[in-house]
Amino acid sequence: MDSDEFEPEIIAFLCNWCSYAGADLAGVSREQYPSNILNIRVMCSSRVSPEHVFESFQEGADGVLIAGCHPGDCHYIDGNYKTIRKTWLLKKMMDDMGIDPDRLRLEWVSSAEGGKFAKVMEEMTDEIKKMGPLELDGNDLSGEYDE
Amino acid sequence: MMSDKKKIGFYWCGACGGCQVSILDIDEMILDVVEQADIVFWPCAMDPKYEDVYEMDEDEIDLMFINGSIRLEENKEMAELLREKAKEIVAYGSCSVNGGLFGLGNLSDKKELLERGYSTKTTDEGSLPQKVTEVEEGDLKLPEMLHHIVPLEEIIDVDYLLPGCPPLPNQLEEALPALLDDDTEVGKHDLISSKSVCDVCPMEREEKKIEGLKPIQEVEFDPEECILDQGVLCMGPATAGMCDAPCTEVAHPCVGCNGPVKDVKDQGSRMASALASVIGVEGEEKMSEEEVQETMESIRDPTGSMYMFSLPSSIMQYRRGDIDE
Ligand code: FES
Repeated sequence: MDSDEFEPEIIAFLCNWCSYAGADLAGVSREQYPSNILNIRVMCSSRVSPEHVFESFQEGADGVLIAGCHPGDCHYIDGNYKTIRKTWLLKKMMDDMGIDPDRLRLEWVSSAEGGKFAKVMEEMTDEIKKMGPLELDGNDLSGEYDE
Repeated sequence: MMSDKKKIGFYWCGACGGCQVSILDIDEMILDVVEQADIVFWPCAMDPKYEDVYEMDEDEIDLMFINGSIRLEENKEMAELLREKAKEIVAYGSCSVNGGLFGLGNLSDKKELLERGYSTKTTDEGSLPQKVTEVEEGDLKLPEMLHHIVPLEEIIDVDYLLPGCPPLPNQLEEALPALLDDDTEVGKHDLISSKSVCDVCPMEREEKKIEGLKPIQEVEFDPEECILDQGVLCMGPATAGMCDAPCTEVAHPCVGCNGPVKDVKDQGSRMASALASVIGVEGEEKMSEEEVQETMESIRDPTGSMYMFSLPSSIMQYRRGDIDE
């Protein structure tokens, strides 16, 4: 592999009850998935606030994944429905702020889906690689502009 | 004889003028203020020139209120200059604390703003403001516009933040004596409430699930009931409540002018989380993901509504990249 190739950094917020367990299973069953991902365990996918996602991008993430229990399976009953709505809003906000909304992905991974977890990670890493790095500090304050 | 009166000043950057008027809004309390302090610099009411400020001594002003957004190079220069001339700086009003309403311009870039402002269908084509115009008497210079608006804090050190659009008399009645008195400790963020507008709103919020948002004119509106519960966007949950909710009290939805609650950075994110929790429909367990998302489509211009007064102080601050037509 070409060592100059862009290696994206991806933050994955995984809900404790399903997706984190799914990631665990992927590990135990020796599934291979790219090492570009930094997993962060949260109690429920709905715990992830837009602040966390924007902060991740601001701190250098090229992509963010939010993963939770399948709809209907959230351990806090309707947490993941809130996540669906929040993610929709968040993508709108990202679009307005000039970040490609596809850099944020929402997935459902149950504790039995180690294989799916690995697959999602692989797909997402590939996609973000194609998009290239997220560059956020392009504009200085003075912003030279000639008519 | 040297008087031991404090010297205070007021300066406006990119502003609507409301903050200046708000100082007069304290009515006869202004008499208490002038008893304790001399107003030595106030371009809105007196007629000082730039040179007068340059000639001031370091730390000559005790307490300097700066309001308005940092929109032009000139605003930035004046802020930097006043920092040298003043012992303590108050970022006064939401523009100066959070970027304010003008901060929504950060969703465009400078090029788009200028072109839209000076050469769209509604204006005569072709004359963007010239930086230098030659006239018989010499060159006239216009200050350069900055790429995006930033909160005052980002340009200079600020000692106190006092948001509000504009700050209300009750805020000033509390803040002014404390700021003018040397024995009262006031922290930088102490003038921002940790209570939200919902916390101080007279309406009882039942935290009802709503099916989506509607414009207020399409709702059979009950002025006694929580505005958000009735399905109308109200920024109360995400907005600092120093104002004691005068808008919702007369059944006008909160627009979020005070900016985020104390110690919160991103007002829009907080509001997005709140909206995602209150919107919900019966039987959504049986709906597809797309159908659940559709419940959100009733929110018009979410970014613009949720960051109406605080985009420049949010995490993202301004739109990145090129803006395509
Ligand atoms: S607990 Fe897994 S999504 Fe809520």
